[in-house]
Amino acid sequence: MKQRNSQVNERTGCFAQSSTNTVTFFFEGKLIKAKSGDSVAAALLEAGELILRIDPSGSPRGVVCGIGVCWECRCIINDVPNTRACQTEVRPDMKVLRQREDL
Amino acid sequence: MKSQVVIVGAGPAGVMAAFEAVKYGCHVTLIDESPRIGGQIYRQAANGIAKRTNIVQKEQDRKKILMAAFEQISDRIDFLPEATAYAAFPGPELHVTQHNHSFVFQPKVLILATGVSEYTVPFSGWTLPGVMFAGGVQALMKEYGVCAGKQALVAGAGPLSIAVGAQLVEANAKVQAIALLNPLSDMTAKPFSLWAGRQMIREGFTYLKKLKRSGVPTLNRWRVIRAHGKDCLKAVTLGKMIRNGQAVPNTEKTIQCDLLAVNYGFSSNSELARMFGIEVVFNPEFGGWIPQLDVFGGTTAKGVLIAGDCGGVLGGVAAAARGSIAGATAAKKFCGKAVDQTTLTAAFAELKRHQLFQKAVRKTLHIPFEVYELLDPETHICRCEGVSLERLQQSIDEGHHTINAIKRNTRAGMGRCGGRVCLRSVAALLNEKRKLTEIEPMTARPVARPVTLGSIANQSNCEGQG
Amino acid sequence: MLKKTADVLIIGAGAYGLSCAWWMTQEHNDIDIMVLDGGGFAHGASGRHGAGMRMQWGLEFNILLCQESIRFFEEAAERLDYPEGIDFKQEGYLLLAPNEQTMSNLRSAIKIQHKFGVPSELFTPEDCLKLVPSLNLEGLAGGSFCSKDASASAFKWLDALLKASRRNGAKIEFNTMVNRIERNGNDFIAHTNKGTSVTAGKILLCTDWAVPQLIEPLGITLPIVPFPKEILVTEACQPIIGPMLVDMERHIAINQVKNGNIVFTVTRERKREYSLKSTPGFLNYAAQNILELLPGIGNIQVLRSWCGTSGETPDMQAILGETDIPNLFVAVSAYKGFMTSPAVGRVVSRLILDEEKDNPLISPLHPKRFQTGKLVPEPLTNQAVTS
Repeated sequence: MKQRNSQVNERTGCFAQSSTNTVTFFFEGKLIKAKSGDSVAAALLEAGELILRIDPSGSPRGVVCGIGVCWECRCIINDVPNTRACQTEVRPDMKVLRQREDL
Repeated sequence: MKSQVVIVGAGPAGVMAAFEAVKYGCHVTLIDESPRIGGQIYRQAANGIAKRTNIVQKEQDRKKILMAAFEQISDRIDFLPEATAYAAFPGPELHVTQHNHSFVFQPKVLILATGVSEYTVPFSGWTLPGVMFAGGVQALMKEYGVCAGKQALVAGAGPLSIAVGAQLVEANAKVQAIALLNPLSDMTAKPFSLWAGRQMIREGFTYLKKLKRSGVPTLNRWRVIRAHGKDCLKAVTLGKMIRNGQAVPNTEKTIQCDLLAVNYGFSSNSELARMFGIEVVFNPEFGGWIPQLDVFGGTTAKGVLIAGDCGGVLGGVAAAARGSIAGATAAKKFCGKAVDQTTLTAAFAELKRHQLFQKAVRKTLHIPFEVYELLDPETHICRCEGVSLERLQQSIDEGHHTINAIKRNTRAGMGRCGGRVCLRSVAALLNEKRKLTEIEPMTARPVARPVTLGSIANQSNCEGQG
Repeated sequence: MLKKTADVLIIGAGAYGLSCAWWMTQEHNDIDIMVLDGGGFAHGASGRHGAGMRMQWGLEFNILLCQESIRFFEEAAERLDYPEGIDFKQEGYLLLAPNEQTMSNLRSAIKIQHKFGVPSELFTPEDCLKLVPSLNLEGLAGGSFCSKDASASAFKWLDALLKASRRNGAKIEFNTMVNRIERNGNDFIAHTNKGTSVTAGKILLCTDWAVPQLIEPLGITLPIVPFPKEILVTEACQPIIGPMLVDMERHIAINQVKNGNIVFTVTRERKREYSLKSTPGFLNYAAQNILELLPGIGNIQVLRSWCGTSGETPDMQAILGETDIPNLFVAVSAYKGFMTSPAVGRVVSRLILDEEKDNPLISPLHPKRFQTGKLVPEPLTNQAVTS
């Protein structure tokens, strides 16, 4: 059970990812470009998409804590509801939809 | 061979604990929710383009050292990434889920290095997309090179706001201002403490210089009153306070922004510790509900040690030292190994420095209760369950004065976040009815984090794990 | 030593205690009612259960008490003037039978239920599947369904009763434990852990498993044994389970509440003692059994589990009535407290205030049955399943 990518980058002090390829996925039917390795939350924020969910009272919600603790960023990813955008890595052709909790 | 030492959390404390324990020949399992080690403070980049958040070279160096330490031991320990520890029982016994499976560990010793999560005082409009925790904003930059907004306002208590503000500048965001609840100069009330932390102060100055050069103003004794916007954040209204927290009338100012990065403190992730029955004391400036421990990280629970900020916030450098201490203690006290004193001595010296320094830092983390009084009554304090300030006040006025009773009476704390975001605010609201240090947290119960039924059902014992 | 007085002192502010307080103050404005509870709001079993209510029982008194209670729950928001409501959900209860013997019990029970107008019906496995498409039919012989059975929020129920009783003038104090009752002529003195005492003309004990320790010093014994149970709740999700399900094979009760969270009460063998502790084996045991019954829900996340203790009695029925000591009453539910609390509040309050001394509805549940041997076991459930 090894950590992924065990090459330390001298300059950044980080483990280097093997590539900086683009990955595309869909948010509410729109095509979004992401970097390989991005989380869904990161990719959507970069693309200016802030609203990930509508809560039961109708208020829009987005990424808040960024580290998987608050569950505010939960949305429907590849038909699985209640999936945290900030803890899910973008995969090619991923389908992300806002979770409508007001309906 | 059975795991002798299980460590939850692969930040600086957890990694250094693993480093020491394996050095002395213990069998170590290291668990973290993330795919990569580093915790929050040394969060690694997920891909090749990471925005340069390491403005401070020394911080960069510390990260490299930690990574190198892990590299040295990675072949000799069991590292479980993307694994969540969700239940703990006296023994010690730990239940962990990874992907669709769960494991039961019964090690000789368990080291909890679970770190902290962030806290903010609630305010009107805080649920708008665009309002984020400052540490989360930082994490996005460190891990994905993503800047969460173009026009940012940073608000909070304590030095994190300065660091995140500078990092946002570095990431080419327009930072409108840093609004601090307490000026950093409040630290000078503890001059000896400041001297102990002079290295950290120097690093802090690097961030301040960056902000100054970019023309970002620091507004001292300003608090967030309201976040505005229809579907997303468009602007934030700040209000001035005087020292004791009272609002200065007619001083509101509204600043345009699409990102508000807030942090008014940190909360220990102490759920697992509390499942063991370890006592906690409520101390807002030190990290919320802090588990009681001795200098080695020892607790009243058999075979359970605590390392790092989850035992009280002392920062990342201290966390590494506390990790070393816990790792060596685990080896010596529970695995019967002979332990070399020099590492321990150095670690204790480092720890002492930061214990002293943090006394000064804590001065900037104080949140006067008046701040809570200025909230709009409809503000949702519990975001998960939509419980308003008004409803909470009603519950308190009706005589419900414990977190558990208020939770049952209003549903605050029953949502997915397990009360992490709101219950400290509920505790603060009780300040007139109860002695703050005596307010007990919500009862800790399995599961510490949401876990699927499938994972729990699919369980194996880790007796046979090599 | 602060002395307070009350006409009736109710010990225990759970569902029974608060319901009795409400009925008493609702029907009388000239008597002083005091309720004392040793814990905080909803600390006891009334705040820890699966929150279901059903009329589907085999014995007349259970059917009637629950039927009357459900009618009250339907109108609770109005009757208690609690505008936010109690999250009442009325989509029935489906009892799942694993074998022909149980089906036969269900059939007999339905005959009796029909006598009282309960709209229950026997279900084939296919009927069950139509109602709950996510059910695993393996090992299922059929079931029994009543569309009027329901569930509600236990917390909102208790809060509604608390607020309404206080508005009516009842004095209700939490975190005040009565640790000793002493007789004082025809009256009683209850001593609390706060150093205060309350003198009362009548006492009603609603402390469930903790009743014996208060009455033993007075020379009375009642066979109430604490039995802890654990329970878990999931995140809120899309409505997939309409009725409350009772799996009579696996001893699981499943309630998808109005908010969408699913509550699973899983009964398993445990030491008979008062406990609030979660046990290491519970979650895995529960998850495996749940997924056998509902195989498709593995992706749903558990949010929390907890433990509560209620009392068992030899026939698993309530104990309602006056003890051998005049004016000392007990109302203990044997794990049916929530669902019978509206009706029990009515009958017990009238019993205590001398209006309906010999109500035939509850006479089978009198404490003296343990001396006379006239136990009344419920044919529809065994010892372990109590929802």
